[in-house]
Amino acid sequence: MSACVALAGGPLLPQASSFAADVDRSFLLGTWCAVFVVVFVAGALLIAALAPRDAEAAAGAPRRWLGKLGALACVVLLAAFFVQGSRVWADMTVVPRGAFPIQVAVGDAGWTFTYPNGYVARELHVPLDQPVKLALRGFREPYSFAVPAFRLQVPVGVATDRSAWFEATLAGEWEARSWPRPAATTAELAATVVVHPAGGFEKWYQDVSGPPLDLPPIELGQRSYQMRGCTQCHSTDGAKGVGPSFAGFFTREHKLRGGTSVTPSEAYIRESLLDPQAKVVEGFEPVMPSFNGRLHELEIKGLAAYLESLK
Amino acid sequence: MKLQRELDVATSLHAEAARPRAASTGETWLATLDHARLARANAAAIGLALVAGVVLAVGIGLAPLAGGGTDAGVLRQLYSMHGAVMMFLVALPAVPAVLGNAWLPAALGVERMAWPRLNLLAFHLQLAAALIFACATLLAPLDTGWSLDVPFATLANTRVAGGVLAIVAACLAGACSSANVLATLAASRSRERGWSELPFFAWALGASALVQLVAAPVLVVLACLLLAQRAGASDLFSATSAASDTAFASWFWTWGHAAIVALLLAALGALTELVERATAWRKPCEPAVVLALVLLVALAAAGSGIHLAGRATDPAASVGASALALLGVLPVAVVARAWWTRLAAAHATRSTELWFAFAGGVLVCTGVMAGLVVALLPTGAYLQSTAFAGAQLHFLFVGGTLLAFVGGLYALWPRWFGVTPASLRGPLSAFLALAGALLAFAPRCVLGYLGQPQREHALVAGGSTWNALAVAGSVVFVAALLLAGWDLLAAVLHARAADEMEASS
Repeated sequence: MSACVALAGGPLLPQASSFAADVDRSFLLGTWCAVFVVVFVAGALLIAALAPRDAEAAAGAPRRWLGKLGALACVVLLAAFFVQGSRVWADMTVVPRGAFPIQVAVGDAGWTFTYPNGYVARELHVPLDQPVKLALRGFREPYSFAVPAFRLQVPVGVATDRSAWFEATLAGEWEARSWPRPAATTAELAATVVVHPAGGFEKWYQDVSGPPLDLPPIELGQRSYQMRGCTQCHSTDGAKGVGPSFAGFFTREHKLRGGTSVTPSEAYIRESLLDPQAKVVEGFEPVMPSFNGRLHELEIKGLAAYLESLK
Repeated sequence: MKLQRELDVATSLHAEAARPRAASTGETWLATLDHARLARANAAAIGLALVAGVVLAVGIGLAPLAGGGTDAGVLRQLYSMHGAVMMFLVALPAVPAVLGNAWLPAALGVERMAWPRLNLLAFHLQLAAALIFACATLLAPLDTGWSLDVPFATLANTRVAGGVLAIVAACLAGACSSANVLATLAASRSRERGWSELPFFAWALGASALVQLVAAPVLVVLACLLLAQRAGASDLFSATSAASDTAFASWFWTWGHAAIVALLLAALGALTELVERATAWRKPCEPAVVLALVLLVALAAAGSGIHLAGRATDPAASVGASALALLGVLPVAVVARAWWTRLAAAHATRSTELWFAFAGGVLVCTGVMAGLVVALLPTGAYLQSTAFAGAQLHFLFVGGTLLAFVGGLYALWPRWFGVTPASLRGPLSAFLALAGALLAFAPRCVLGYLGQPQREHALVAGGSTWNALAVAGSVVFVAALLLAGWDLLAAVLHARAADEMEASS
C-alpha cells in the first residue's frame, strides 16, 4: 500500500498532515477499485458483444450462483469501505483535547488568523507534530478553507462558525485557498501556512506574544519597546539611529518632512505605529514598517505613556 | 371506455396513414399529437440545444486563450449557461421526450402515449424554455451556476431571472413528460400483460418519471420564491442570515439529488434498451433488476430527505449519506450485469447504436465508481466542490444521457428517414467519444485531488499537465460528436439525393 502511495500519491501532493496518508489511502483504494471495475466491465461487455455464439450455447443454464457471489462480494467490499472511511473520518472530525486554538476569519482584504494572545497574522503559523484547532468564523458569503497539502477542506456557511483540526507533520510552507471564492471579493484569497520546524513555533509565538497586558502602562510600554524590535532604530539615550531617538521625545515639537510640524501626543504615536509613513520626522527616511494588527490596544497606549515618561 | 380508446387509436392510425408527405410544414410539427412525430420534434430541439451547450463548453475552454486576465464574471456566465443548457435543455428531456416517445408505446404494446395533449404541452414548454434561455443569453446571461448557487442566486448583483424562468419551464415540461409516461404505464396494464411482463426500458423510464414528478414541484416553488425575492416581494432567502441561506441550498438539492438519480435511471433504461435492440432480446425485465431500480428510487428519496431536513452538512447525517451513496453502487452493478446477460445470451448485431451503448455503459460505470470516491467520508469531505465532483457528474451524464441519446438517434434513423448510416464513422465516433470523455474527465479528477476548485480557471500548482490532458480529451470528445452528427446528416442527405435521382430518371 505504501508503494502505491509513493507511486501515485507521493509525487502529486506532499502528505503534510497526520491524516493526509489516511485520506490518500481511501482515495487510492477508491481509484484502483474504479479502474479495476471499469476495465472489468468494459472487457466483459466487449467480449460478450464480440464473441460469436450459437443459440444453443446461449440457452444453457445461467450461472446464478456467480451473480449471487458477485453481489455478496460487492456488499462486503462496500461495507469494508464504509467502516474504514468512517473510522478515518471520525478521527478527522473529533478535535483532540489540548489542541492549539487559532481563529480563522475571511474578509474583503483576505484571511486573518487570530492567536490566543490576541496577535493577528496574515499567514497561518503552526507548530510541527502538535494538533491545531481552527475555529472558522462565518462570513457574509459561504467559503471553504482548504489546505490541499493537509487534505483539509472546511466549508463555512454564512454566519455559521465551524471548527476543524489538523496536525502538521512536515515543516515548510503550504498553500491555503478559499474554495469557492466569495463573490464580492476580487482579491486572490490564497494564504500561506507556515509549519515551523521543532521549537520554531514556540520562538515565533514568543516573539509575537509581547509583554503581559496586565502591567501598568509605562512598564508595559517599556517591555513592548524592548520586545517589538523598536530598539533597533530608536534609542532612549539621545543617540541618532535609523529613526529619531525617544529621549525627551514628548518635550519638544518635531519638524516633519514637507515643512509642517507635530506636537507629540498619544494620537500621533498611534498613527506612527499603524501608518508610519503618514508623518515622517525631517532628516529620516520613511522606512518604518507598520505595526497594524501586530500590537494590542493596551500596548499602543503603553508605548505612548512610556515615551511620555522619557525625559 | 376501452372501446373509446380503441376508437382513438384507430383514428390516430388513420390520421397517420392519411397524412400526406408534403404537409410536413412547421405547423404540423408544432401542433402534432402524434408521439412519434413529437419524438422527432423534440430530438431536433434537443439537438440544437446540444450544439449550443457544446459551443458554450468550447467557449469555456477558449476563454483563457482569448486573454490572459479573463473576466471572472464572463467565465461564471459561460459555466452557468453551459451547465443550465446541458442540464435542463438536453439531459432532462433527452430520454423521456425523444426515446420515451419513440419506444415506450411499442415496449408496452400500446398504440400511443396516454395523454397526447400533455405530450404536446411538454414540447411547447421545452421550446419556451429554450427560447427564454436564448433571450437570457443575449440580454442577461445566468451567472449563478446551473444549480443556482447560494449566495450568487440570492445576492442582488447577479442576473438570475431569465435563467430561472427557463428552468421553471423546463422543469414543468419534465413534469408533463413524466406524468404522461406514468399514465401510459398505468393504462397499458391489462389482464394479459401485467407488471411482470414489462421490459427494462419501461421500468427504468417509469422509475425516473416517478422521481422527477415528485421532485419537480420543489424546484418550481423554490424558483418562484426566488423570483419573488429578487423582485423585492419577499425576503425569505436574504443573504444575511445563516438559516435562510442554508435553507435555499437544502431545498434546491432536495430537487437536485432526486433529479440526478432520475437522470441516471433514465440513462440506464435507454442504454439497456439499445443493448436489447442490438441483441433482439424480447424478454421481460428480471425481478432482481426491477428490485435494483426500486432500490435506486428509495436511495433518491432518502438522499433528498437528508437535504429536505437541512442536514446535509451535519456530521451524523453525512455518515448516513455516505452509506446511502455507497449503496447506490449496487443497483448499477446489477444493471451492468443485466447488460452482460443480454449480450451473452444472444448474438449481438454490431451496429453503431450498440457501440454507443457500450461507450455510455462504460462511462456510467466510471461515474458511479468515481461517485464511490466522493461517497467515502474522508475523501468526500476533501473533494467536495472540487473539479473531481464536476468530472464525476460529467462521467454520468455525458456517458449515460448524452451517448444514449446519440445511440438512440442512430437506432431511430432508419424509421425516421428510411436510411441506416452504415459507414465506419459511426462506430469510430462511439469509441472516440469513450476515449475522449475518459481523457477529458479522468485528469479533472486528479486536478480535484490536487485542490483545483470547480468552475475556476486559475490552476493549482502542478495542475498544468493534467489540465492539458483534459483539454486534449475534450477536443477528442467534441470531434467525436461532430463526426457522429456529420455521419447522421450525411446519411439523410445522401438518401434524399438518391431519391431525387430516382424520381427524375
